[in-house]
Amino acid sequence: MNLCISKYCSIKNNCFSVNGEVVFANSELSATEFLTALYRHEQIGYPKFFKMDYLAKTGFLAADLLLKGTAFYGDSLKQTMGIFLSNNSSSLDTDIAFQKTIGKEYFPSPSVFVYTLPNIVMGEIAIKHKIFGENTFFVSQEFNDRFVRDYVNQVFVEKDMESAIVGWVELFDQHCEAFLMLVEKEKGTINFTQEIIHKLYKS
Amino acid sequence: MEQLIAQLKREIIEVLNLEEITPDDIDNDAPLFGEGLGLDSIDALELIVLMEKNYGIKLQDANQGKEIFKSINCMADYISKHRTI
Amino acid sequence: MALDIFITGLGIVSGIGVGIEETATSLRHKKSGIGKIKYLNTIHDLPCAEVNLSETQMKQMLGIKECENVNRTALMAMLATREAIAQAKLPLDGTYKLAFINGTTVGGMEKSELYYFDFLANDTRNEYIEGHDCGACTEKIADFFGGFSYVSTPSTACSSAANAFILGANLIETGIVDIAIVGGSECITKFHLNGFKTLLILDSEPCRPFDQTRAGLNLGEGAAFLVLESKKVMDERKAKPLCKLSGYGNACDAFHQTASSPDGQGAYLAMNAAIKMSELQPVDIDYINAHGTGTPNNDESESQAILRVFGNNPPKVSSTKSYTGHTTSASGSIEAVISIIAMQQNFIPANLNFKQQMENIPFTPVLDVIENMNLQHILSNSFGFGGNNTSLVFSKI
Repeated sequence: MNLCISKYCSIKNNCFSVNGEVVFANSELSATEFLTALYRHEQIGYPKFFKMDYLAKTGFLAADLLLKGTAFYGDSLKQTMGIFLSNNSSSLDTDIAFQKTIGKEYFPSPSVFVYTLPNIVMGEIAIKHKIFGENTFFVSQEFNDRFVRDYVNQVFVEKDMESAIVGWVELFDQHCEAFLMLVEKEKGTINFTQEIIHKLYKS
Repeated sequence: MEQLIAQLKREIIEVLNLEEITPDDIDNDAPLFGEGLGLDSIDALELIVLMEKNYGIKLQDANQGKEIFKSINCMADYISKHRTI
Repeated sequence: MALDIFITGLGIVSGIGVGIEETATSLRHKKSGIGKIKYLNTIHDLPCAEVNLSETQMKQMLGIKECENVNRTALMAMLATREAIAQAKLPLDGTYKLAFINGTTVGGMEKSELYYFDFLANDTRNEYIEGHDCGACTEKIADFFGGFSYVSTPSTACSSAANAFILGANLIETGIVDIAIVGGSECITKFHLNGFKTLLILDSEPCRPFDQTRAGLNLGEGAAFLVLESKKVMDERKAKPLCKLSGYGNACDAFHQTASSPDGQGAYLAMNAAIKMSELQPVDIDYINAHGTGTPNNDESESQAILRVFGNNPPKVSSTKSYTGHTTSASGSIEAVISIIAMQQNFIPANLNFKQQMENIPFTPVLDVIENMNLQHILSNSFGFGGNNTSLVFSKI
């Protein structure tokens, strides 16, 4: 079984790229303003985007633009697609926002609390694109290309998985970074190996 | 009442992150949930917080919200009768 | 393909006891741990199931100095892990490649929320803020014992500990490690107590899972860890198996951030996948330890999923959250240990506080402890916000 990266994208330093080519950039904006600008530029047309926290916005945007133009985009049921993400700060950016609502002025916000879990970003991606496969979120010091390759490879071997969204989605205090790969069986020319994952992530 | 309705629309847009909606887009009698604005269960909970924070009205039960949040007019009517701030 | 993973050690700390024996006694005597809050410094008067130990007491039990910075989540985890390691007679001297996998969401947050303003004002209590991260919490627990070559923290809300089993099994099957200690730990914090309260899903009374009048969940806290190993390693070191992890399933409900779908699609997919991996049929399952939080939404959704998998006459079902409360990220492993205790001691735990049948559901949960039950295969469900649904199957050897 040969796993390939059929497409990849990244958001880094207010620059959005697909397969290594810059699609949209704007260095004048803050990191979180850039997310809204990217949403509008790509005309995604999904008002629920504005209810998401910044981490979910980051992951949702990257995943949406990763799937755009592929057969996976849209609401056809995807039972054999998985989502495997990781980051460093979990949901800390939103945790701080929630903490402010239970401070001296005590009005805990339910819509903010909903996002105080790192895996809600996978939920948002799954809700829009009807992805029902295995999904999990790891918290680690940095993006671990070896672990990602081994873990995802094992899932494909053991299960009926045909495709997966895999990568790193990090947002904390205006530091925003996403790197996502669309991994498929035998499709594409880029092999899903540790060296290649490392190279694409760093590029 | 008109002033309250205008204020309420601005507050709802802000609190519920309805970025692409303006006060003029919100019909006073249109349903807020389901069709109309298409708000969901988490939005209902945020409106409960808004009632307490801005108007001093404490709702204990999400079910109370179903009647009160039927439309902007319903909400404004309830607030004008029960507000403590 | 069925898994070849065996469980050789268990450890547990929760509102119904410290250790396996106390836990088993509470279950058999229908002694719930849900009651008034004693340790958390909160204004709210809500029923919760706290672990009946202060941090000072836990430090004494572990031989940790009072002045040392160790948060409540980590302390509970250390107690549970120690029990599991002892039962498994697991050497930590490097003979085997070991993994430690801890599912948590809260990490050191209970200390951060206590000391945050001191930290902001005077830059004091730094060590508590530094211990905040989930990953830092896991490392602290792992370092307390030493000997782990692989340490990780799955963080998927209430399915975190259950997902730790999946990662552990994968690490063993790929040969990355020989043995994995998996589980989860979570203490109650003001942060999530207030959060759940604002979602209006807490019951101001003790919860009543699968009851028509159920009104919400009660929060709980605790930790549980289990030692997983392959047959090869287990035989090689002559370890005694307690049961087998036959299969697991994880699926996404893809419906809503916090609510479950009306037909329980994610739960249905997860349960089916776990049963399929175990090379079993639904009829082979003797008992379901349900997620059963007691919220109107979960219990309806999970019931529908159970009916879809098992038909109108499913196996015996109960929710032990009526004893332990909802221990959030730790629930997957706490309920796994409870399931295995039930399997070993041949009883089915009762579903407490039930009074009224759910109107549209044809099955009733187990209302009293059933003794002398031979439980060959048990299915345990853990469903997290974000639609992250996991089911595990444990089998008697």
